[in-house]
Amino acid sequence: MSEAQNILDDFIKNKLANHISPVSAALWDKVNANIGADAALDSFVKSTVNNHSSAISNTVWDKINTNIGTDAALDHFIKTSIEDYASPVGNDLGDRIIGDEIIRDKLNKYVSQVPEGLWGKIFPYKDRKPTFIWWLNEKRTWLSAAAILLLIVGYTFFATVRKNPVESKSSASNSNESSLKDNKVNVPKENNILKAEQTNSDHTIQQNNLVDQSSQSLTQNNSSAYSNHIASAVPYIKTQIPPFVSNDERIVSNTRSDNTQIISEHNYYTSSNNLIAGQLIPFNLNINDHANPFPPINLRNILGIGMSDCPSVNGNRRNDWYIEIYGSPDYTTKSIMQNNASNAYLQKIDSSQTMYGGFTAGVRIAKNIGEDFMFKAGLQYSQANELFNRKTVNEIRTTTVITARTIVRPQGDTTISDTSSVTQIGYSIKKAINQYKNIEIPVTLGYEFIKKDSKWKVGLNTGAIVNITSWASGETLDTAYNVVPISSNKGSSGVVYKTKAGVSLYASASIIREVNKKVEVFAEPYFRYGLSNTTTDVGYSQHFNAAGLTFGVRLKLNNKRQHL
Amino acid sequence: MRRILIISFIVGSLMSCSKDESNQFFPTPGLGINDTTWTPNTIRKSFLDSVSDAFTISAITTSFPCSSDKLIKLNDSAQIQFTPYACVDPNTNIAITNGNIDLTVAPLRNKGDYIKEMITTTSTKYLLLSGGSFYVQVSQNNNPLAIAPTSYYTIKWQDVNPQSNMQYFGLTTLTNLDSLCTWNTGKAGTVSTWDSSNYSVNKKGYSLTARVTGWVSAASFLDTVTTARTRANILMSSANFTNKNTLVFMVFNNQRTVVKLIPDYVNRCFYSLNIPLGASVTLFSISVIDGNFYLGTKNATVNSANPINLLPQQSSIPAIIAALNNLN
Repeated sequence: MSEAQNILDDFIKNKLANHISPVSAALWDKVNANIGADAALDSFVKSTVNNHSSAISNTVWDKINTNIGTDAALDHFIKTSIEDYASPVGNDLGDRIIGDEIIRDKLNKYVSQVPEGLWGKIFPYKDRKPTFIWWLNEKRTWLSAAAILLLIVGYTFFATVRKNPVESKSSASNSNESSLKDNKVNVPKENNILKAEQTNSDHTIQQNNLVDQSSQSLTQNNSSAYSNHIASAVPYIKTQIPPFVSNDERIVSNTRSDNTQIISEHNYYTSSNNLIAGQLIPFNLNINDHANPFPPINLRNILGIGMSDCPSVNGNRRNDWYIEIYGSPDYTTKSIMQNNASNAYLQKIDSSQTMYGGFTAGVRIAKNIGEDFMFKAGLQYSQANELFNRKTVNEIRTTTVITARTIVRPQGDTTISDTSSVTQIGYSIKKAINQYKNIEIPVTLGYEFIKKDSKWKVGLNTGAIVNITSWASGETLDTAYNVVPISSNKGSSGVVYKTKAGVSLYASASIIREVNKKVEVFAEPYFRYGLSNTTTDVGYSQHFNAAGLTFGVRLKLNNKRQHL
Repeated sequence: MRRILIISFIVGSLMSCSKDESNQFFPTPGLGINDTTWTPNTIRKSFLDSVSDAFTISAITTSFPCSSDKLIKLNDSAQIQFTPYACVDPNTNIAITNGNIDLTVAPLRNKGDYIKEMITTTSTKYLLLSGGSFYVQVSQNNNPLAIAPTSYYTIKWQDVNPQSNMQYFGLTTLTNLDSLCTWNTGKAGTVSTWDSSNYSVNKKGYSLTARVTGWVSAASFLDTVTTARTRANILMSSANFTNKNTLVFMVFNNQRTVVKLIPDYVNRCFYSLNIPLGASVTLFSISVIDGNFYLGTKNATVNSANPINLLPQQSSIPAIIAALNNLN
């Protein structure tokens, strides 16, 4: 034992000579918050924890893993010296248990932050890009549907399990027992403290068979004993790495599963057992929090608002919010369809009115969906202009003329001002700009083709534009070919237009250029097709269409990828 | 970024500043009504012809034996009498001794008739008071005849207040169409008055004896020495009426004096000199524009050279004739 201990120490010394294991800042914050306020804690910290180092980080074990199989000395050491090793229990364990209880009381609600990248190691497919066009593939569609169904069933199942933890846990423990039957490893008899703890926990076992079974499984498992041995030398590391012996992996995993259920539902008693087994409380607390496959629904995470440091299955995901300010000159067209008006009237209308362009300006919020899709909604003002051009022949117009004249009189010249009029016959061209103004809500869904490390993006968008209100002004012809005003007031004597112009379809392609991390500019040629009639009962229906080139600025509201 | 915002602002401003409405009028080219310019030249003959053709006076036509010296009754108030064999061939000066003579007499019965015939009672720039004017024409087989130098004819007509200072005036056509014509005195005729009151017939009038045919008149000059006079200026209240399409007459209300006003190209007005101050007149204009007749009438008193405005209105030929017939 002593020689093997020396070899292990030398090995650890060699491997970890330059390693500095940081203690979680939040842990010390929590401890510091209670320093001085809790006498028992003060005493514990002073006596046992003050000089204690935190768990060794994963990089240590990475180094160890790297040498497994490649380092003969390590392999030999594992085979020869650790095989029969029983984890020694310190004489001050009883005191530490008291301290552990204090820590448990203080930290049982503490949520430790998982180091960045941990889940990335567990799930090597973290960089897999989620796709939102899976439904285009029939096979994927069925797989996705099956996955969703499985998730629903699984969630329902685990939700049910969480409501009946004892029953569920019993079955899990039985499974452990059956797997342990094949193991011929004896329980180390030197572990008096373990026995004592087992005895002490008898009264607890009476209340919770599950804990009792779990404890028994631990005492009968030499692999657990080996792990406990390692854990005694390097605390907290046992369950952070896979066990060296591959055929024990299942057992350890089961143990973790058991602990998960136990600690989450039976805080005190289960923690006691785990302390006995290998002082796994800190680890188990962490794993329990993150091993729960159905964490509480966090709206902040779903919307990507705020900064969540919790890792996700998919790793960092795009979570961008934009505000877009844009404007565009529009080329507008109009289609007139006959209802009950005469052909001659429609011909007059058509010949007297020509669309005269327009413009659109607005602001909208854009939010990515997945990596490449973009949902946009906002508020915009659009105006379609129309040139009303009416030629009237044989029009008589009289104009007042003031003329200065010099009249010669015998007495001398006299200059007088004379007011006269002049009547002319000709043709008049009456021009007016008819304006159709709208306030609308554009709602679009787009797909952006993003090339990594490129400042340019191309997107395709489609959606609808819903009219909130519209009003019109200008002139047009009535059925008697008289020039009458157009308006949106029902009491008007002219042609009345609707105050709500309905819905238009929208499609566009956008070219986006990144100016800096927070600002992008874009140009977006688009086309909109009006679906609704804009006139009231005037004998014809009128639809407006438009094509334009939108220029805008896109401001990124949050400049960070987030876990979702 | 800033540049984009500025460009957007400019574009938006330009679009918002676009003129919303316009109503432009384009006069139809070639229409007379749209021609408001005055011409420095004289009035066109075509215009005069259009007016002359529209307004005619009724003439009296008859025939008589060339050897006859009987009175020929023109109407209830006028008669004419030729001396025997008074007519000669104007080319050969040989007396007509056979057959009948065709006689046409057109009396200017009222002041409206002067306007119809576009004849004024002026002698050059001086105004005349007319006692009566006649157009006399003799012919045989449609060949115009003249009066033999030793022969004459006498027209006798009634007048309520015949003036003793009347003279014979013969009308001379002028090449200047603005003035058209002028009355000249001469030895081709004489004028006298008659009064039959002594014969228990209360009739008075003038008797004009002339040796020439054509327009003859009994008239006298208005007092241009002792009476204050002025230039009368008439402005058309509409610029559409110019010297190209308008004739303006000044008709004295209290005497048989009709003055055709002369266009003043420089001042864009019509005028006449030597109008007695305080004269009560009726301004009468006839315009023909694009085949449409316009009539302007206005009663005025000429007190100074200050312009008198006259605004013609579109009218018709019958309406104008009726208005002319009322100018007694």
